[in-house]
Parts: sequence; structure tokens; C-alpha cells
Amino acid sequence: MTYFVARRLAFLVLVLIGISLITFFLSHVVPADPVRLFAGPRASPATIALLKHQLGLDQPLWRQYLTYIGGILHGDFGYSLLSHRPVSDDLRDYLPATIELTLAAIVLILAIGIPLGVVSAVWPGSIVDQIARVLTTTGVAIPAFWLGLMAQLVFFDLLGWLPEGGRLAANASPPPTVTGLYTVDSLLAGNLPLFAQSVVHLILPAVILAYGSLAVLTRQVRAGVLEALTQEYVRTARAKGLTRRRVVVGHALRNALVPATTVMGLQIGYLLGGALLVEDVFSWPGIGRYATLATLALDYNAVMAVTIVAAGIYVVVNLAVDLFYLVLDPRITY
Amino acid sequence: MILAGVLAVNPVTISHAAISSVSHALSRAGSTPHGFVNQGTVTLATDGSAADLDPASEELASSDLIDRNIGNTLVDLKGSSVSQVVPSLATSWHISNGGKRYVFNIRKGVYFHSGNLLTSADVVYSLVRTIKAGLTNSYLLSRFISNPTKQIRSTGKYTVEIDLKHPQQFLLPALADSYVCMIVDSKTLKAHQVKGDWGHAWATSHDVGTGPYTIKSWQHNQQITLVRFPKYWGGWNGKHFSKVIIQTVPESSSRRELLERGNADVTFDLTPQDFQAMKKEKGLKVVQPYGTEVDYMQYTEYGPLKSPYARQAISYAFDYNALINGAMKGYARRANGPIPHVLLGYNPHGFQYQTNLTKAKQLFQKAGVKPGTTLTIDEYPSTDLDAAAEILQAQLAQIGIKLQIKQMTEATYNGILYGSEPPSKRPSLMPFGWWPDFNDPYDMAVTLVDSHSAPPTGANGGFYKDARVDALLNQMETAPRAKLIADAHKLQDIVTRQDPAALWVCEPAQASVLRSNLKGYVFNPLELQTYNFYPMHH
Repeated sequence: MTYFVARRLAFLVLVLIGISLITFFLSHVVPADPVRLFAGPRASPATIALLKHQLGLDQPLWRQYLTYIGGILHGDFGYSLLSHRPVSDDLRDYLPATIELTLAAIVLILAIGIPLGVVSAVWPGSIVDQIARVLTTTGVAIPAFWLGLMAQLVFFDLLGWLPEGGRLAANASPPPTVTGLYTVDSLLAGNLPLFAQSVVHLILPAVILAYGSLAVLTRQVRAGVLEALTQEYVRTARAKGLTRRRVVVGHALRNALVPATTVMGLQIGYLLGGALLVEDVFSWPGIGRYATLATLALDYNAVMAVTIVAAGIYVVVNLAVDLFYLVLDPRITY
Repeated sequence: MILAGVLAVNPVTISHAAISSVSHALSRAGSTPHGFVNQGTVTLATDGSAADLDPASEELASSDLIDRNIGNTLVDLKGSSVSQVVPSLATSWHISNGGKRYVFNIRKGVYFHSGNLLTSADVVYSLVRTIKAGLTNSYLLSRFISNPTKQIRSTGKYTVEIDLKHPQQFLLPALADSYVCMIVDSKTLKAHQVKGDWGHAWATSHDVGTGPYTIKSWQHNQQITLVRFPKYWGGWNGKHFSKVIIQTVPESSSRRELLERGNADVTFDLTPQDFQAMKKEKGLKVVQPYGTEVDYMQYTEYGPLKSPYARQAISYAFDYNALINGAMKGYARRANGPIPHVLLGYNPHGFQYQTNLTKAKQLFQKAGVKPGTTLTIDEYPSTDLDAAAEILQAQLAQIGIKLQIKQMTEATYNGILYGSEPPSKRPSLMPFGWWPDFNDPYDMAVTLVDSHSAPPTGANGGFYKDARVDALLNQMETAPRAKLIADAHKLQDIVTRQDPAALWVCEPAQASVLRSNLKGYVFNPLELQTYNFYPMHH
């Protein structure tokens, strides 16, 4: 297994190099001078030249790329033309917000998707199964941004139950930073009202982000459990007198979770991409929103950093998924 | 805090009123809460986010908004005046040597937010830095001062002398520019200087000012919270907000929602329909003053628009009423050239186009532009200019000219506008908006219509070139007041009527929505999209 993990980590490095090459050269193909935009219309040619030199943009492309890669190895993602500060500072501010949102979505997906898929499979045609089918159909058909806008309209505008966006209310101060996750940090600070506020602000964006992946997981679990329930070993388990719960959860679900775990790992990529739209709708200050602003501002360094970080997260998560198989199915070896 | 001694700028005047000691007494009193009536928190919902607070480089209105509240300049514009200058960090000044020597007396007992005391060394450092750092804003004072280390000197702990090569009537208004000429904490910046950057990296995201508010917290692209600086030299007598929250809310519908629900107190940059609707709402008020912004569509002087007759034709074809009273619902007024109504040099009797499609058709014929010709316009999302493009398209269609509209993001658009593409590769029209740094028609016009301001040097994206305009601008740079005004009138006529540089679309109203009980808001036509929160109260 050590060899397996080492090989996958080596693969991660290759993936990141490939992504950095592609995004670097693609972003430099865009016919616009970001330094000119950054410096403004009144900047003299001397100022432009100075800024280009300071930012290293007067070097040949290949040297710029090597300098950039060298910087990344030291945690330096360059300078953001959008925020006028190191990209690593921006990532430090924005990434925890996305992690918090994504984790909340994952909790919802797993907590709802798995039980719903199981119940739907065990009692096909029941009211729960009907609800699950509506959920799975709408989840894959309706775009997240539209759903988000409708959710704001209903829960904020009409009912006034939930806030329209942001991580906290305008007049609230964030908790002291430990993890960057406001829910965790407020608990660590013993600030229960702030914890409650951060949870309330998390509800709508997390639900909207989770919705699409919830649909996919529910369907996958349902299909997996349905198939497992027709297998010989399940019949044997029933014949042995095991309870229904034991048969379904201990045997059928466990086997159905193997392909479901694969799907869930792939859904991480969807969640990261979906976060971009959800963060925009709910003014959630995560890397998705940062990426949107950076793209619109032609901020090469920020765009590349977000791409590389997202790719790294995706590969690491899928490595974790592969390792999780060992827990689920002892027959699997690497 | 009201300071005595209002001063009208006059290049001939070399004496002025002394400033009372009230300001000094109040600066001592400012450190105690006596007389302070705490108004709590005021929240502004804004569309942009502050990025760079360094006065030597920042040029976003959202950053200027912060600097205006955390910093001070030597002098200030009085209230909503574009020309009257009042003391700020300078308590008084003396102009001599035929207008070439300025001696400023610096206010004593002023603290930076770091706790350092302001002296003349900080003033000299700040002004020299703005020029010598060579960053975005070095152009402003470079116009007046070519050798800052020699020309700007400290002649005592609280006196600064500026020597000019020629008399400069606009030096004082330039020094009142809140985002370029902010006086910064030299000790702190020197301590954080890295590789000769004049402390730029530090100043980008730290508070180095003397203003009434200081930064308490900053979640980038989300919210910035300012709290009152107890030692503010202007004092805290009377009603003042102790906390200012500036929230970034890019969607105008969300900003409107926040005001309507009472979750914010001030916002701006909504649609005309929003302003109209909110005017009727209880508890809110809409103010719509006019600033110095002019929105226009620059003509690319090439191909079909090479001839001034073709450009005049478009100016005649456009339906100004449809834009101003239709699309903008009255939240705009006619622009008659690059010089706005409130700016020095505006000619109220200048030529104004009246929509006339017949005349437009004749002029196109005269220019050799046949029916069926296609013109192009690149644009980015902007309420009035989007509408203007569509109105123009409809008007031109009636006389057989096709206008192709291409939408893009603002960054991509700016890349084209300031890029190095020649006129042959540019669209026929390029919309934009502009306002000056101070009350000077030269400052307003030079970047737009001077042939030397063609990209990549400036914003003359249409490569407009008229030798008469270049000559006039050359004179205007140093002309005395009466000549300056006369030259500005001539320039206005050339670039509007004779040889149009642009379709001068409108001057948009700088409308804001505020809570009805919010008082003390003073709009200045030169300080657009910013708010001075210190005098505001319930």
C-alpha cells in the first residue's frame, strides 16, 4: 500500500505540473495587458515598465513560468492584481470559507442521501421513494444558481426566515481565527450566539450546493442497495435469521457504498465547481467567488492559484476515497 | 469639526485669513469623550471592494472611500465646493514669490493611528513619495513638481515649503485630492520598506492615516469595519457615528434589499427604476446631485468615422431624450462635451446637438458613408451606456446604418481600450466615463482628447487627433484663469461640434439612497462614489 500511496502522490505532482502549464499558457494567450489595467489610464509608460519589472512580467514566458513554479514550492503564488496583495494571503482568507461550505454540503449529502437512498430501495414505490425520485430528478435538472435565487426569494424575501447571504450579519465581528471556519472558531471561542449565527448563514448556501450531489448520491445508493438486495448473500443472510436492519445496513449497504464512494469522490469536483456559482449568489467569500472576480479582472496569478489548489484538493480527496475502499471492502488490496 | 478660514483659490492672492486656535483646542479635546453623542453604527452597502489603500497607487473609488475616512490631506475642499479650499492638516499657508513659493504651517498635536505624531517630515515624505515611488498616481503632482526632493522641503518641525518653477493655480486643489495626496505615517512606512518600495506593500493593506476613523477589521471582498479614532485632531464633540461598516454587495438588487429591510443605511449605483421605487418608500430618501462625471462614446477616427461629418452625423442621430428621460428616468442630464457643467471652463452657451435624423443622413452622405455600412461598438455592463448603445443602434437603423453591439467584461474591455491595437483593429465606438482629479478643464480633457494620450499612454482610445485641440491643451496646462476658461470654451466647441471626438452621452446623476433620518451627508462633485462619515449623524 505504501507503494500505492507514493505512486498516487507522484501522480498528483504530475497532474499539478500539467495543470499549471496549461493554465499558465492559456492565461497568457488572452489579448490584454493586465499590468496596464492594474496601473490605470494615467500611468506613464515608465510606471508600466516599473510595475512589469516588479511583477516579473517583462521576462520571457518560460522564465516567468519557472519563477512561478519556484514560488509555489515556497508557498508563494505570486501577487494578485485584483487584491493588490500576495495570492497566498487571499487563499488563506478565502479557502476556509469554501471548505466550511463544502464540508457542510458533504455532511448534508451523506446524512440525507444515504438514508434516503436506502429507504427508497427497501420500500420502492413508497411515498419516500416518490419524494426521493422528485428530489433526484430536480437535483440534476435545475441549475444551482437558479435554485439559489429562488431560495433567497422564498426564505429571505418572502418568509424572512434566513439571511440572504454572507457568513455573518453585517454588524457581527468574526471569531478569532484558528481554522478559518466560523462555526468551529466560534465554538472554540465559546461564543454560542456567533456559532448559531454562522450556522444560520450556512444553511441556505450549503443546502443549495448539496442539492445536486445529494440527488446523484441518493440515486446511486438506491441503485446499489436494490442490486445488492437481489444477491445470493443477502438471501443467505435472511435465511440465517438476521434482522432486516442488519441485512440492509450490514450487508447490502456496505456493498452498495463501494460504487457510491467512487461517485462521491467524483462529486467533490462538482462541489468545488458548484461552489463558484453558489458563492456568487449568496455573496459567500470563498475561492469560488475569488476565482470569478479574478477571471473577470484578468488576474493570472489568482486564476492559476485557484486552479492548482482545486486540482490538488480533488486529487487528494480521490486518493482518500481509494484508501477508504480498503475499509469498506477488505478484499481490495493495492 | 468646523475650521475657521474659508479660502477661495485665486492665483493672484498671496495672503489669506489666519486660522483660529479653536481647531487646536478641539484637537486636545478630541481625545476625551466629553460632548460626544454616539450615533452608533452606520452601514454602507457598496458594489466594489477596496483593494489598495496606498495613496501613491490606489485608484479605485472603493479604496478612495476608505482613504477618505482614515486619512487627511493638507487642505480640503469646502463642503460641496469644487474650488474653495479650507485648512485640514495645514492650518494656514502663505504664497509668495509670484505664486511660486508655498509655505504651509502644519497642525500640531495630530496623531497617526499608529500613535506617531505628525510633523513636517511626514508631509514632505508623503508628497515626495507620491511622485518618486513611480506608481499609478505619480502623474498628479508630477505635473507641478519635477524635482520633489529639492522642491518640497521641511523648514521647521511644523513648516513645509514647496517651491515651483512656475506659478500653479491648481496646486492647492491638487493637494486636496483625498486619494493621492493623503498624508501618511512616514516612520511606519520606512520601518516596513522592502527593497526600496517606499513601504508600498505595507501601505496597500494597512492604515497609515490621521483620519477620524481607523480600520478595525477587513475581510477582503466582504466587509471593512472602521471605528472612531479617539485621538482624532478634529475632535468628537457633537453627534458622530462610532462605527462604520462598509459591506461589499455586488448585486444592485441585493443592495436595494438591504436598504429596504433596514440592514444597511446608505447605498448607491442602483438602477434608475430602483431609485424611482425607493423614492416612494417610507424611511428612505434619494438624493441625486450631479458630479463631474461625463459618460461618452469615443469615436475611432478611422474608416467610416474618419470624416468629422460622419461623427457629427452620429451625434445628430442619437436620441438624447430617449436616454435621459426614458432609460435613465431623469437620473442624467445632457453632456455638452468633455467638460461637465460644474467644472471650471464649462460653456453653458456652447453648442448642443438636437436629434435630427434627416441631418444625420445628409452628413453621412457628405462623409461618403453609404446606407448598409456597419459600425461596431464594444461595451461592458453599465446602466446608461448599455441603454445608449441600444438607442443609438435603433436610431442608426432608421437611416440605414447598422450598429453591431459586442458585450464583454469590464476587464476585457479596458484591455482593448488601453491596449496597443491600432485604430484599424478597434471598434467604431468605445463607451467610457471620466471625471477629473480637481477643478481643472485641462486635467479633465487631456487624457481623453490629446493626441499624445492615445493608447497605451492614456484613455484617448479612438486615437482622436486635432492639432488645434493639442495646441489648446498645451496652452491650458499653464494658462491663467481667464485664458484657461476661454481656451476651454474653444476646446469644447471643437471636440463637440467641429471635429467631434465622441458622442457626449450624458452626465449621470450621482444618486444615493439613505435612511431618511441620516443627516450630515455632504456631496462633493469631485469626490464621487465616496462618503465622508465623520459629519454624518441621525
